Amino acid sequence: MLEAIIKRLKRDKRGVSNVIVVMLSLVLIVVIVANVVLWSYQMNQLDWERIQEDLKIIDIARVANSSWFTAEGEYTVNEGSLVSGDYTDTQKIGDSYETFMESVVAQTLYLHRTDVSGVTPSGRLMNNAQQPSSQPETTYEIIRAASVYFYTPILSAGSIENGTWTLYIWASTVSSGKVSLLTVRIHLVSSDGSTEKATMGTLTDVVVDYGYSERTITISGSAVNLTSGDRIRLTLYAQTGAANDPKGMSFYYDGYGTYETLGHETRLQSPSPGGYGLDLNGTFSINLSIYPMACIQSVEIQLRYRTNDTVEEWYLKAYNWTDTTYSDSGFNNTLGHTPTTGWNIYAVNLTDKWRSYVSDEGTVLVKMQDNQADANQTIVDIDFLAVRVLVDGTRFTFQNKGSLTSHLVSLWVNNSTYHQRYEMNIFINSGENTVYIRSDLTLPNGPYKVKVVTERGNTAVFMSP
Amino acid sequence: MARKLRRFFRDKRAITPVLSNLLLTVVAVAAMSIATTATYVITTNLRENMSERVVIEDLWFNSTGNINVYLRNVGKVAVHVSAVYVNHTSKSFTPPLSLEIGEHGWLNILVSDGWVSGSLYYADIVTTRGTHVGGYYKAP
Repeated sequence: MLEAIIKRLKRDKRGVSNVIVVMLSLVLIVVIVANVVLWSYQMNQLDWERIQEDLKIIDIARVANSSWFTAEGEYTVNEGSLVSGDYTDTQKIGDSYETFMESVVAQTLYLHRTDVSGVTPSGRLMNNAQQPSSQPETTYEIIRAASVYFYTPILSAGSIENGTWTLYIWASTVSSGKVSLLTVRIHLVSSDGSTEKATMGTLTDVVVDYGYSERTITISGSAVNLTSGDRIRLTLYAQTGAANDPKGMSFYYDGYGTYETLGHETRLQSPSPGGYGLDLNGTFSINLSIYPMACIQSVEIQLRYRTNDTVEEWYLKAYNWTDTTYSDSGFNNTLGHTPTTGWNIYAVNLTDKWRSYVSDEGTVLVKMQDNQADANQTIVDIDFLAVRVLVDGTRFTFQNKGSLTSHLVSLWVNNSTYHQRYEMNIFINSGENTVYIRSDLTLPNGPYKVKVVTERGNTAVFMSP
Repeated sequence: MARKLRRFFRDKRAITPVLSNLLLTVVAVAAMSIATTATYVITTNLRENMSERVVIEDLWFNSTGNINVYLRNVGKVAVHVSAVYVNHTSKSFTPPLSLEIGEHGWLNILVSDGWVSGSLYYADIVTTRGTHVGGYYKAP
C-alpha cells in the first residue's frame, strides 16, 4: 500500500505546485481567521463585558470625620489588672463596660530639662514621662558648692511608704584626676517649693570620679503622708571642700545618645510600692482603603470612662512611630483629664502631628494611664475608647451591580459653568459597594452633576438633589 | 557507471517537463504571495476598524462659545480624530487629537458663531478609520 502511494507520488509531477498552493491557502486561512474571526470574537467579548457593567453612584456627601475605629483585641494591661468585661464592651457607647483596677507600682521619675514655674528655689521637672527616643541627651554641670533641683508635678493626697529610693545618674566629675562628692536629698515640699514638709531621704559623700558611667545611688527613705498640692523635690548638691573638683560635676539626662539608652536613663525610682497605678494600651486600625493618608487631616481619640477617684488625673497617649515611644506631644490637650462623678468624656486631638502616631498600615496604639502612682487603688470603668480620623472631603458611595469587576478611571463634577475632571483608580468587585473619599474636590453650592467613567467606557451619573 | 552517465547526457526529452514544472511553481508562489499580502492588508484594516472604540466622557458647552469634548480611547487600537461635525456641519478643532490605547484628552471644537442656550446640538466625531462617536447634547 505504502509502496504504491510512493510510486504514484514519484510519477505525479504536478504535486509540487499543488502542495505550494495548498500550503499558501492554509496561510491565507490562518491570516483571515486570526485577523477577522478571532479579533471579532475578542471585540464582541469587549462589547459584551461593557454591556454587562452596571455601576451606580448611590450617595455623595461631604464628610468631616470617619466613623469610630474601636479596639481590635483585648487591651494590654501594663500596670493594674482587668476586673471584668472585655474589649468588646468598649466598642459602643452606653452599653456594657470593661472594668480595670489599679495595682501597686514602683514609680520612676525621669529628669527633664523643662523648668517648673512658680517654685523656689527654681528647678526642673521630674515626672514619670519618658523622654522621646529621638530627643538627644543633654548635660547639666553643677559647679562645686552648687545645687540643682528637680520637682514632681503637684501630687494628689496619699502616702509613700518607707523603703529604698534609687537614683540612676550618668555622672562624671568635670576635671580629669579629680573627684566630686555628691549629696542627694529627697524632700516633700509645698507646691511652691518654699516649705520643706519632710525629709524623705538623704545621702551624702557619694563619690563621683572622672568618666561618665551610669551610677546607681540608693537612698534609704522614710514614709510620708502627702496632702493634695505637695511636690517631691530631688536635690543634687556638689559638695564643697578643697579636695573636691572646683569645676564640680556634670551629668547627662533627658534624652538619648552616647550614654543614655532605653532603660538606662537618668532617673529616680521610688520605693516599691510607690502607689497604685494603671497603664493599659489598645490597638486601633484606621481603614486606609476608605480614608487614605492623603485625605486625613487629623486623628481624634475619645474615651468615655468612670472612676471611683475624682482626684487622679488620666492621660491618653499614642505610640509615636517615629520616636518609638508613647507620647502626647503635639496633642491639643496634654494636661490630662480629671474625672467627675459618673461617666466622663475625654477626647484628644492629635492636631497636625497625627502622622507620627499612625503607622503606614493605619495602626494607632493608644495608651491610657494615670498621672502617677497614688495611694488610692482606683477602679476604672471604660465604656468607650476609639479612634477616628478627621477629613475634609467628599464621600462617594459606588455600587457595582454588574457581574464583572469595574475599574473606575474618571470622576467628573459638573455644573452649568464648570466641568472638572478628576483622575481616579479604584476597582469595585461585582455586587459590592465601595466608599471613595476625595479631599481635593469641593462640591458646587448649586445643582451639580457627578459622573464616574469606567475603563470600559460606561458612565454612571448622580444628580444633586 | 560510465554507461549510465552516457545515457543521461544523450537523453534530451527531460528539459521541457523540468522547465514547465519550474515555471508553474514560480507562478504559483507569486500568485499566492500576492493573494496572502492582499489578504493580510485587507484583514488588518478590517481588524483595526473593528477594534476602534471611543467614548465621550464629557461634553462641555463652555463660556467661550466653543464646545469641549473629553474623549477616551477604550478600544484596542490607537485612534486619530480626523473630522468633527456639529449639526452635520464640519467644524475645526484643536488640538489634532491622537489617542493611544487607554488614553484620554480634551478636544476643543471651535464654534464660530457660538452655541445657543437651550438648543439641541448633534456632535459627531469621526476617526481616520471612519468610526463615529457622538450624540445629541442640549446646551445649558
